[in-house]
Amino acid sequence: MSSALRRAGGTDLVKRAVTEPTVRTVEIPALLERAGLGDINPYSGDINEIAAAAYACRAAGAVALPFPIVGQLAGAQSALGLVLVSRTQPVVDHVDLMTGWQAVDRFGSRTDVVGAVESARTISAPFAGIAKTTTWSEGEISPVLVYLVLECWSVLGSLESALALSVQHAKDRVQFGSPLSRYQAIQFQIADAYVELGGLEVIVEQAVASYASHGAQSLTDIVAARVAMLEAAEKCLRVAHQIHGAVGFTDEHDLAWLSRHGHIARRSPLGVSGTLAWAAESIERHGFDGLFPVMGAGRE
Amino acid sequence: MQTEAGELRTKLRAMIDERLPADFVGSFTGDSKDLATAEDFCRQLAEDKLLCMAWPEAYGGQDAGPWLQTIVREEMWAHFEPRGAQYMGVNWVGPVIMRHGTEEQKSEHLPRISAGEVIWCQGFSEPEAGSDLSGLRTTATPDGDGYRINGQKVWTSYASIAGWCFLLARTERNPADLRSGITVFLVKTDSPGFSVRPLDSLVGHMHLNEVFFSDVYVPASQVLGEVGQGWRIVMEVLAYERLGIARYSKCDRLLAEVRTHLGEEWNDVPSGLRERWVRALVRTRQSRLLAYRVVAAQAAGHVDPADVAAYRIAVTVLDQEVSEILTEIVGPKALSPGLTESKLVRAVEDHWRYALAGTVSSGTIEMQRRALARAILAPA
Ligand SMILES: Cc1cc2nc3c(=O)[nH]c(=O)nc-3n(C[C@H](O)[C@H](O)[C@H](O)COP(=O)(O)OP(=O)(O)OC[C@H]3O[C@@H](n4cnc5c(N)ncnc54)[C@H](O)[C@@H]3O)c2cc1C
Repeated sequence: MSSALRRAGGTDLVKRAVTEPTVRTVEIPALLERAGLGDINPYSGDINEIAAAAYACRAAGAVALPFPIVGQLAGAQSALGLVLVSRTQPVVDHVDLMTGWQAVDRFGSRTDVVGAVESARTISAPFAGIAKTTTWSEGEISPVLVYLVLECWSVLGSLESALALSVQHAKDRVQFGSPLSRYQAIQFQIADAYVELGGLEVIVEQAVASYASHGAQSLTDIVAARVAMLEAAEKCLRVAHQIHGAVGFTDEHDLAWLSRHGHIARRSPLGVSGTLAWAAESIERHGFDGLFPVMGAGRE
Repeated sequence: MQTEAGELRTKLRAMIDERLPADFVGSFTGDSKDLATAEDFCRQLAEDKLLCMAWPEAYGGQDAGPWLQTIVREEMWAHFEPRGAQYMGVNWVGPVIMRHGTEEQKSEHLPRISAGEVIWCQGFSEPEAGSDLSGLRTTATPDGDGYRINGQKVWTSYASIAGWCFLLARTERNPADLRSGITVFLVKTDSPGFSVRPLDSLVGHMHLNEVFFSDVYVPASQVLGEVGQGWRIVMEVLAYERLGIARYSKCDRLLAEVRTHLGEEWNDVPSGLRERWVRALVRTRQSRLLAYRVVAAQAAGHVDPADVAAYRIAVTVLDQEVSEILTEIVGPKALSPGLTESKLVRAVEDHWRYALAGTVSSGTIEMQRRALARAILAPA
């Protein structure tokens, strides 16, 4: 998947997608089809399947792929795709590609996406829009879990790219007669970002394993991974921008697109405060595993 | 003094209410009507002698002093800078020309700035010269009664709409002292050989451009200060610039408005987020008071660059934290406001992007920290 995306131009896809609609409607769907995305079923119960989905999302995130791949994979059980939304503010990236999809809220309730409400196109999220939905009905939690965990992996991919670019930039960019990599202020930022990234990687791996073995019981682990993702994204992207200076803000630079990808993923269905409150709720009910586990009220 | 300041604030707010369209969130939205709004607004401010009120009367001001100027800065930034790009002419181009310009330059440029008729851009940074500005390579070679400029600038805000460029170019190269040999030129942007390439970016429209100089002729009469002595002027510009944007004032306003905006829903905001909001209110106040400390020193005529750096570090970090808090409070719709969405939601999206670059523009936060640390740790 990674090499297929690279061959297709990597981050050029997102840069082109702004002006060429067929990148998102034709090119990328065909590319994902060829890469065998349609054969992955993250709900199969086989850890290899969810891991394959996670790796695909990581590869997509690494190039800020302008396509709702997380939703496509999370929709493996329904016809087209499935997207996790905030019920009061169903703002979704690439909503224009989702007619006929299902939307779920964080409790697993479902509805149909029947189109998009007209909304302003912003610079921070040029492909986002508001989903038009129908009536909601009860559903199960597993699509929420799959969606959340895959989205963490896609952000992980973006952050890995952002940091790799930053390291390269620090080595290449010379100011005051030395590469930036010689300056401690830069070294420390890179080191801190790597601590965040490593921490994110291990917790999203654990979240996938937890989903594979505990299914619906993995909610707390997955929400915990989202907390880590949200914090790592803010910190790592801030470092990446800082190290790049002005060039990293320009749309010609990959970082601007990786940065948008992280920004968007951090907002829906819940930002960091909402996700922390959700995690707290879940821990109260179901506990939190550790060497000295926190017991939840609902645990026997 | 208090009352005068209060009156000015009231007057400016009334004027803003009356003059700005209700949905105005800044002049760099990509919509030309917002640029036109800024142009009109500047002309109105100028007519009322408010645009450059801190300037001497002779140049179209009111000799108002730094405190009243601070109020103008705060009110403008809090209301999405309705002066558009002209704030730069007011904040630093004019004052620097006043200090270093010839009589001819003063009478050519100052009245036009205070009349709100001209936009300036700052041609400092180059591909190789960012934090290390002394690495600049654009050259100016004598030619008859003037100079020929060749080279490239980058990140030049508002270059595509500017009438004049405040340019740094090298008239001499001494590898042992790169700060010498830099000269300031005042360049008309319609000079043959001057071209601009706009860059789309996260920051928004018109903020970043590349500017190319190909044999651009500048008469010697447009050299500001002495040839080769530009570095001192640069340092002054940067000192003015760093106090220039009252970032805390927009934080103040948006933090207050977001609560009103939510109404009853405020009670559903997670308690952790409300705590961050409270902390941000306190930090906003601190930043404002740190700015006032610098203004007081300015009024007394002895600004300590360490205080300016401290203020700037505080306010740019604040701006980013506030942009996160506001985005969290507004929720996902900050990414894609519905067409009827309130102005606040659109303002939050804009604020998030602009704050992201605050720790880079006008000198990075690392450079501020370095300057501050050197001042604190200098041997007694
Ligand atoms: C929105 C915006 C508007 C701007 N408008 C203008 C304008 O109108 N005119 C203009 O001339 N310029 C403008 N600039 C450019 C701005 O002044 C530069 O971006 C800034 O000086 C930093 O330079 P750089 O981007 O090349 O980053 P670099 O200097 O390459 O820095 C990259 C990173 O390395 C760090 N670094 C560099 N040297 C050291 C060191 N010795 N020790 C530790 N860390 C170091 C920096 O802090 C930064 O984190 C603008 C920039 C932005 C973002």
